[in-house]
Order: sequence, then C-alpha cells, then structure tokens
Amino acid sequence: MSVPEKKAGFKRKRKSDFGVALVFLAPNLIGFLMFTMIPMAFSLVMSLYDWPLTGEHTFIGLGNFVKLFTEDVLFWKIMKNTLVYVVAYVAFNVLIAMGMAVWITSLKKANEFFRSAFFLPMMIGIVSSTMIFKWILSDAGLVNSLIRFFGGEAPNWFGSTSTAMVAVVIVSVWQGFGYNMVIFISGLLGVSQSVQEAAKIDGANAVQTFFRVTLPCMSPSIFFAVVMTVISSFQVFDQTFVSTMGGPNNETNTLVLYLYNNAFKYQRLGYASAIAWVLFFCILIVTAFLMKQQKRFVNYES
Amino acid sequence: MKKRKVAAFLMAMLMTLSLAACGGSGDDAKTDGNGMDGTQTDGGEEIVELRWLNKCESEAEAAIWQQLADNVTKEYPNIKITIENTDWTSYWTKLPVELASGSAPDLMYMHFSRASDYKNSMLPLGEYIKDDENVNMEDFYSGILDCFTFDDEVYAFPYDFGPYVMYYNKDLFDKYKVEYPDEETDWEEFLEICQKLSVDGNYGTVFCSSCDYYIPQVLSLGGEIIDENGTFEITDKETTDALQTLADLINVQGYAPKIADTANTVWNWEQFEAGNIGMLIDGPWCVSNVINYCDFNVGYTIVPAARQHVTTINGSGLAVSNTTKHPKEAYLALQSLTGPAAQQILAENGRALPSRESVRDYYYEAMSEQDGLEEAIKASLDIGIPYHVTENFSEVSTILNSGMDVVFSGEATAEEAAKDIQAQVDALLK
Repeated sequence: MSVPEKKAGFKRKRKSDFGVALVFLAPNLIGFLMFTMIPMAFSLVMSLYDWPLTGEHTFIGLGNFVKLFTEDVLFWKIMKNTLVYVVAYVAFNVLIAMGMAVWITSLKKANEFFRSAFFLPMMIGIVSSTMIFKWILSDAGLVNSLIRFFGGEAPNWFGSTSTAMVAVVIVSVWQGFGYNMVIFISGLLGVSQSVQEAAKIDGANAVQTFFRVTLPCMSPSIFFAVVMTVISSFQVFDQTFVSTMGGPNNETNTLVLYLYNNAFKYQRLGYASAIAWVLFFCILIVTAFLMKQQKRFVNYES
Repeated sequence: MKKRKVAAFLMAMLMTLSLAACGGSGDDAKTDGNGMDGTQTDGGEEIVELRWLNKCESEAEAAIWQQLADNVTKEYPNIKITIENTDWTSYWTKLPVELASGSAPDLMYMHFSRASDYKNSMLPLGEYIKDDENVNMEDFYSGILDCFTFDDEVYAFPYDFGPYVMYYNKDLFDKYKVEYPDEETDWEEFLEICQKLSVDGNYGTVFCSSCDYYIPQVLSLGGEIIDENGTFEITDKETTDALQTLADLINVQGYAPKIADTANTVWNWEQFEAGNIGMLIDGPWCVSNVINYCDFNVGYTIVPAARQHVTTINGSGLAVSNTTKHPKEAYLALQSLTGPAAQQILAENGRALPSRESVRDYYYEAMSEQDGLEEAIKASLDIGIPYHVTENFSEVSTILNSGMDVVFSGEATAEEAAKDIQAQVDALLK
C-alpha cells in the first residue's frame, strides 16, 4: 500500500518542480518560441503554399520546391554562386587570418596595435566597408589607378561578370578576417610552450614545429573558426545588396539575396520560405559534414 | 553549435517573417474611427481624415506636397489629409505590405509602370468622374491617362508626365568646339559628336543598366522590346541589332564609359554630374539634378533620330485605394490634388511637368533658364509614344536589366543575351 502512495507523492513533487522551472524559463522560452520556433514552423508551412503578399494563399504541397529545383534556371546559378563564394571566402579568410595571427604573435612589440588594427574593419560594419570598396575599386579609384600606373589593364571590378564575385570576396575577406585572426591568436597563445620546446630539442625546425606541433595543437580553434565562417558565409547578403544587387547578370546573386528579392520585391512569400529551407539544409549538411571530419582532424588535448 | 546554427538560419528566415508581424499592426483605427468620433467642422460637417502614402525624395518636395494637402482642406474643410512620405525604393516595399495587411492608405502614389500590378487595389473612378462636372478629363495628357486606364475604367489621375529628352553638357561642347545637337541631329551626327567629345577621359554619352534610359534609343534605331499590347519580344533581329549598336558605343567605339555599378539606377547621372559626359537621355523630372548638382551649363533637345524620330513618355499619378472607408471624400481629395491649381504649384516649383495642358505653361516659365527644355519637351510630345510595359513589370524589368549587363560589359552579344532574357521572361509570364 505504501508503494503507490510514494509514487503519487513523487509525481506531485515533480509536477510542482516543473511549474517552477517553467516560470524561471519563461522569459527565455517565450522569446525562443516567439522569435525562433513559431516563425520557423510558420515558414515551413508557408513554403508549402503559393503565398502572394496580396490575395489568396493556395496549398501547393511541395510545388515551390519542385519549381525551385526543376524550373527555376536562376536557382542553380545562384546555388553555384553561393558555393563559389563560400569556398573562396572561407579559404582566404582562414589562410589570411592564420598568416596574420602567426605574424602578430611573433612580434615582440606593438602586437596589440596590429591586433586592433586588423580587427578594426569588423567594427566598421560591412555596409560601410562595401561602400568604401566601391570607391577603391571604381574606375578612377585607388586600385585601378595603381594598376594603370604599372601599365596593367584595369578591370571593371563590380561591373564585369568575371570580376564581380572576386570584388565581393575581397570586400568580405578584408572586413571579416579580423575575427578569425583573434581566435587564432588566442589559439596560438594557448599552445603549450613545453611541447614546442620539446619539438625543438628533438631537432624540428621552425616549419616542422609549426605544421607538426603548433597547428595540430590549435586545431580546435581552427575547426571552430571554419565552421562559424562557413555558416556565416552561406548567409552573405549585405555586401551584394549594397554593391551589386546580385548583378551583373546575376553573377553575384546568392541564396539570401534571392530569398529577399522573392519575398520583398516579387512578393512570393511561399517561394521565399522554400528558399529559406533550402538554405537551412545546405548549412545543415555542410555543418554535419564538418562535424564528422572533426574526429579525424581535430585534436582535443586531454 | 546547434543553437548557433539555428540562430544563424533564423536570421534569414526572420526577414521573411517580419512581414507576418507587420500584418497585425495596421493603423486602420486612425482612419476608421474618425468619421464617427463626432469631430466636426465649424459648419457642422463631420471631419474625415485621409491617409496618403506618397513617394517623395526630399524635404523640399515634401513641403510642396504638404501645401497641396493643406489646399484640399481649404477647399473641403471637412477633409484632413495626413501625408506619409517614402522614397521610391521603400515605397514599393511599403505599399504592398500595407495593402496585404489590411491597412491600406486612402490615397496612394502610383507610377504608370506599376499601375497594372496594383489595378486590383485601386478604386475604379468611373462613377465619380461621371458625377463630377469640374474634373475636365480632356485636360490630362491622354498618353499618360491611358496608362492608368484598364477596360475603359480610369484608376488613377496623373499629376505629371514627361517624354525622355536629351540633356547635353554645353561647357564640354564649347571646350572641344563641337556644335550643339538639335532636332535635326541624326544618328551619323550623333556618332560624330560622340567621337569628337570622347577624348581626354571624356565620353560622348553614357548608359546605365536601367532599361528606362535606353529604350527610347532602341526605338529610334528601329527595335522594340515591348509592344503596345504589353508583349515582351526582344529576340527580333532589329531589336538585337539596336541593342548591339548601343553596347558597341561602350565596347567598340569607346564613346561611353563601361558601366561600373549595375545596381545603381542613377549611375549615368553621377557620371554626367561629374562633368565629363557629353549627352544623357532622361525625362524632365531630372532637371532638378541639373539645377542642384551640375556646375556647368546644360542644354536640351530631343532624342536623336536614327531610323525614326521617337521617344517614350511616362509619368506618375495618384489613386484611391479600393478599401477606403471614405471613397467620396478620397475622390474629392484626389481630384483636387491633381487639379489645375495643384499642378500649377507643382509646375511653379519645377517639381513636375503638369499632366494638365491648361497649366503646363507655368512649368515652362519656371524652367525658362533651362536652354531648349521647352522646345525639347514640346517636340518630344509630338514624337512620343507611351512607354509600354508588361504585366509584372517590376520583375520583368529586373530580368531585362540584369540580362543586358553582359551586353553592355561586352561579355556577350545582344543576340546571345536576348535569347536568355526572352526565356526567363517567357517562363515568368507564362
């Protein structure tokens, strides 16, 4: 007889705990539901509808996705552009950030100054940076003047299909590498001196020490930087919105910009939601892939 | 990491959904309740408050519109108008959202090229025009009124209009001792002028990725992209030849600079204002650019004739939304805002070439310092045709503009690009 009583008592206790927990969680939970969960669920529903801004919504099942993948000629071009941007941006960002981090940590003096200086573009904001680069890369701008001075042929940076994406990547890397640089600097400083000295005593030269000892030791920060940069680069929007609006001839049109145009310019909310979910799965798949590689390449010191 | 991923994704998605949020926050109450809350004029009439969503680019312009709204209240003491001014780009985001969320304004700005897209949101004016003895519809320039007419029903009244004319930098012509262009200038002479001016980093003319600027020249060269039925057909040989001829001015002859900013719809103006461009084609609404930003003398003439004398005409107007609670008052306000007195004010301020013929001379008077503008406009009206648009023109023009980027940059021929553009437009409008 005493057992069920106990059980009931336990249940009641848990219930009351739950209520209290809910109260404490409420502020965060409400925000999460209102701004994350419900909008996400809602966009999934919208992606199954033909949902113009004005007029009737009609349920079309997977129609938006079918149209996106089979009929929309622009979509594949945009997919390609996005991937080109992600690969180029992540590669240059990580390499430059790493190079800068190694150089700055090796400095005896003024490393704080350089650290701040290279981080500064992050503080300016991407829109202003892009505006500045539009001037620098304009026909009479700094870069083209220099190219002409040395006798080269000056490209039409943002206006030509062959260089527009290059220009967008240049702006983005200049603006964004400072963040990874700071992560790498802290990674480099975190590598134990004793391990490096041990390598030196064993006869490793500087290059060997860097690639065989330092780099593996800081692989967690490299992994973190790469994953974050990949995720953020899939969402590239501001640079292209300000500089090219996706032009010339959609050469710099990327997924989020296409999503924006569909939603706000062409008023196809269902279609835009479908694009949002495609973007979500792109990021999901790439991140899952990177996470899997983590076991092979990333060294967590015990 | 997972949370960050979700959060990251939501950045994109929230943009989409912010619209849904707008839906609930309409300010209908402002316009709805006022007829019933007992506010009255001195004469005992109930006061009707109207909300007017307007396109406006500057403080100076806003003051003119306010004056027009105040004059409506003087004429009809029971009508009060609240203006909400928004610039061009934001306007076309704001208006659809307000219409969709059930908080439509009573009065709205309407551009001729978007009229067909918003036809279902505008109040047909036929029955009000019939009962109105003062409206004098014949006074409106018919070409632009036609753009607001669907199935014999007028949906908006134009307040301005304008043919595309040619602006030229007189100082640059003087510097190189080149004769000014005039109404007789043909294509050969146009090329000759371009050649003489395209020296020392100067250019004879300029293009921009927006099709509005080059369509008059395409027509003049014998091409046609959109016909009077709104059919989009760009692959005809005459049309692709015309487009190629224009692109060659940039890439072969070097008479125009390479378009460096394809996202900027006034890039050509920025070049012209810098003073090293000879000739530019645009409508008279941009004379204010000359007055405010050009520190050199500018002359005006018609678009040079290649195979024929032709130019396009477009314009703007105002409409009443079909969900307004006060259609009668909104119509009266609309009639007053586009009436002769209002257009006279717009004309005297140089804001608009009046769509009403009866007050057009006030504009010419206000613009008397602009050399040749009056003659250019009058001659252009004789050769002008309405700027034809397709259905869903905002999207079609985006396809056309971005497809033409590669032609103007010399990376594709007009023929190749035309096929690509046509396929995209066909897929959209099918």
